[in-house]
Amino acid sequence: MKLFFHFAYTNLSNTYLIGPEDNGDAIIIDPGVMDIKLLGIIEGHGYYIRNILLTHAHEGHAMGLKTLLRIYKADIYSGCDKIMGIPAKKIQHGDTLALDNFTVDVIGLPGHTGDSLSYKIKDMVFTGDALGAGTVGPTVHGYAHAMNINSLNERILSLDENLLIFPGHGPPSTVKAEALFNSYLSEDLSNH
Amino acid sequence: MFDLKKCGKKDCNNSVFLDYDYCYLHLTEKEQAFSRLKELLEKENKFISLNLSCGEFSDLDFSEKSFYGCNFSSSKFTNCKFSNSLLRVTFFDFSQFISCNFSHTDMQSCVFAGSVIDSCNFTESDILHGNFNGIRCRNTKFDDSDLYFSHFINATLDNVGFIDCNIKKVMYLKSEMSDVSFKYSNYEDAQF
Repeated sequence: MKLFFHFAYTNLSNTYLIGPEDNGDAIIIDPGVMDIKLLGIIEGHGYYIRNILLTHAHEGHAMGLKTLLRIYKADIYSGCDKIMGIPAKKIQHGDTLALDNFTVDVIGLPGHTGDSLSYKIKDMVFTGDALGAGTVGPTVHGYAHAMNINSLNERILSLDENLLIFPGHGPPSTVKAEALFNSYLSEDLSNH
Repeated sequence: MFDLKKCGKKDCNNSVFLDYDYCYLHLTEKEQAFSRLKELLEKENKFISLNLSCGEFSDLDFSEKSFYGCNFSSSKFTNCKFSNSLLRVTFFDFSQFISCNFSHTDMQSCVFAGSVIDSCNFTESDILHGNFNGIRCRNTKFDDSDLYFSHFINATLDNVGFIDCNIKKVMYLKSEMSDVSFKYSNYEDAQF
């Protein structure tokens, strides 16, 4: 399996491409942009985008959808049934998807948005905006923040500490590094 | 991307070393494995999904090589050279670096979280989307480097130079600093 990181400079978000060792069907997570560089990576490796996973329905993580769908006939998976007017297959916490020879475990992380999902594929967890390296995503109010922290503690920090974290913004991390150095995850939530 | 295949020793949570069945600590043929690694470094210039976690490396030359999706987690590096290397989505978390040279490296999405970094040189490098959260770093220079979107959250920095660096979107939240210089750097674009 190969993983490619692409920086969507228009909204400073991370797009991830997962494909097989050799050419074949591939998955894109959060296409915040679809530009010539990303197209070059896809085509250069002989990939066809068959499935698109969205961690949440913010446009900054989905601005590349329309262009992608003009090039590839792909299914979109999201916590919402529609994103920017485009229909998506609605999925939820606990679902398991079999996509292009990859098993995708869907982990719900409500808080940053109500539809926030993360995706575990092999040893990698794509957390969107819910969790960054040493940070957590912004929320609209304290209750949503508490929900985010609780879901991260229950559903991410309980995973194998060696697993790799790939957030929607900023650098990658590991479960162990977040457990030790992300101060938000150990904060007292009694005031929220 | 590297595989987090577990060590064959019962109750060991470490990943296997290269293509062996055991982690470096539980390898019986350590010397043979080390010779194989040295041979690989002499012969090849490009490494993909290499697993060298928990290794101990002294006076090794990794310079002018390319590493994609490699795992050096929980390793010990003494007097090793990574200068002029290209590193993509490579993990060095919870490692120890003493007198290592990372100057003129081209690094993207690499993780050094939880590492001890002593008397190392990261100067004149591109260190984009780097995770340095929780590092304990002293007598080390990042001068003349581009550190865009890197995180140094909860880090301890003692006699560390960030002179004439691009530190746009760099996070130093909750870091302890003594004798740290940001001279000529755009510190107003970083978060402290």
